[in-house]
Amino acid sequence: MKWEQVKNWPWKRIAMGTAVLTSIVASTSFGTYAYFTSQVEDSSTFAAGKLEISLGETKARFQAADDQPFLPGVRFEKTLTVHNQSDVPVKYALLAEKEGGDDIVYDRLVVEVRRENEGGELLYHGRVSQLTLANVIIPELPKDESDDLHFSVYLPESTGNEVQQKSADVTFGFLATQQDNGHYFAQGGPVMTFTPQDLNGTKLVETLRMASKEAEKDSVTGLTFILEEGSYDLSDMKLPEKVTWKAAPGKEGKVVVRADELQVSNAAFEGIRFEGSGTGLYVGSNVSFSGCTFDGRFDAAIRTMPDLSGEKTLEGLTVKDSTFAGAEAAILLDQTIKGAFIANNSFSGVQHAVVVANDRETEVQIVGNDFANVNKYAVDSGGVQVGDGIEGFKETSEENGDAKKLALHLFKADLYLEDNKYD
Amino acid sequence: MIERRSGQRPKKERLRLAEQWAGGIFLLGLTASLWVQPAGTYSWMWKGVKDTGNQFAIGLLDITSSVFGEKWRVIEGGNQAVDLFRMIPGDARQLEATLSSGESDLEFIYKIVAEVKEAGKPEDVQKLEEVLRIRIESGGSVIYDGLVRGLHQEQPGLKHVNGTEEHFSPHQRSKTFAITVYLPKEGVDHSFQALKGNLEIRFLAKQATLDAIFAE
Repeated sequence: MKWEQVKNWPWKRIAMGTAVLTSIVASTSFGTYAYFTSQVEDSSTFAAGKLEISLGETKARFQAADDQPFLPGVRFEKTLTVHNQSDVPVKYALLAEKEGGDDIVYDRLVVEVRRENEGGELLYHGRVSQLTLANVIIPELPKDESDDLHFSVYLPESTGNEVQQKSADVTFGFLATQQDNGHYFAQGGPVMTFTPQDLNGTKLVETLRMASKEAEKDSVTGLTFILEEGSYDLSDMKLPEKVTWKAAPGKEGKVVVRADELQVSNAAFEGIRFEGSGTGLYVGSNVSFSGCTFDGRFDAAIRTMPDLSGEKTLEGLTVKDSTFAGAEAAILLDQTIKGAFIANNSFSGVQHAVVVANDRETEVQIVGNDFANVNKYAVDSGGVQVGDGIEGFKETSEENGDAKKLALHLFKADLYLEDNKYD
Repeated sequence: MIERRSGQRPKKERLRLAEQWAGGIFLLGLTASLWVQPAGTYSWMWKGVKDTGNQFAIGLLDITSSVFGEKWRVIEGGNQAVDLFRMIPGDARQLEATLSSGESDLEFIYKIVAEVKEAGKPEDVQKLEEVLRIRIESGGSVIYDGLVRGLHQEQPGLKHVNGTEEHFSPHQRSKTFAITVYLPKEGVDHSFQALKGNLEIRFLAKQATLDAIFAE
């Protein structure tokens, strides 16, 4: 369009018409308020609730009752109080992490955590290093309430001179979340759930390969594999490191792993049922079994992994709250291993429960186990046998002591036994 | 006979392909899980509290700087200053020994153990131990006076006290003992002649806690 055409438009009439239209629109608008009106307001505020916990403590540092120095068998104690200052009830996980110091101490530290009430309910008894997995969850802490948790940290009595002049700095902590959060809210790494179909054939091989590759990264603290109910055949396999194998919640004992010569190092198993024959699991360093079942015609259900060089010392085997049935030797330590911790297990129909059959100094802590149904010896080490009816090597209590104990310093092993049941 | 339409795969092959596809998806999911942290891990409200700076430090117990004198001194009897084998009834030889806490920063409990070791015929050991006596003195008082075999290390598992056990503080630094070995004047007849044995004397130390055991 050209300017000459626009210039000739009837501008006066256009301006007048626009003014009339504007006044009509404006008067209609004002008319809305000319009648009686009323209104109700639904003001929905979406304010996020508060989730807040705080920490109280009884003393500035862990210390023994009579101010003894930190030695094997000396309990260093402290009570930590968790307050729930949230708007809602919470659940929380117990956590620990190494702040500094020497691995040789940190890896051996054991902690007992109890509620500080009349019954002193036991929440956890095991290695401090296992608390990094956030596997101890306190399911409820109501709003405005507190939990007093008594921490007792010690080096097992079987610990030897290798820890002298060493130390470990530890941070204990609590991680709280909403109660409806999932089971694995505090895990440090990926959590994956598998069914027997997922861990079979090429998928199994590929999964283990990828997990091994992942574990090689320094940044990876650990993976968690949750196994659904069913049977998994892992015979003759070498499992990746830094993996926790857990039965799905409520499926403990129903996750069956076929284990014939299964090789594991730096791994943890919780609630798994192992079946097989011959040697079940060859364990390297830092392997933990908790709430597991070993059932089958095993020559040895758990056996230390052979070291061809003959120089390596294994360390850090934990077997707790587990059940053994039908094996010739439930736990066979035929390689030198330091810091083995065998606690609160039940042995039934096995010939020997713990056999130490290596020719160098091994350190084993054996506490709170039920050996009553062991066919022969509870502990057998180079001719020194501990068990029912054997003279000389029995747990005894001091005059004023309440726990029965037996400490043995043998050529092949330092053994410490306490509060085990033999008959 | 039903003819398969052109382009349709047999059921077996379709199943195989489906399985391969599902396997691929599974591995893809696995890779994704390992590659990134699962979103669910910390996706809810959470709050952590920490109690830091808990140090667990272990001290040192080391008595390896303890020393035994180099030569036995003749206290009674002939002039055989060195050769213990040539002792006759009534002879006594003395050795000075010093227990040292060295660099230890821990209190400990020590004990002295002794044993005659074989130096020729195995049967000599037992016979010699029937009569060979030892007296241990320190600071003017007698700690032990009796047969050497009373200071044997015991079998593991048995709580054994031989009377030489004592508490030692690292502040004491050292403690000197006079160890006298002697044959009584009576009760050692001709059948004990020419018996040979090596006497081994050791200090053992253990941490000063109730349940600790000596390495024996």
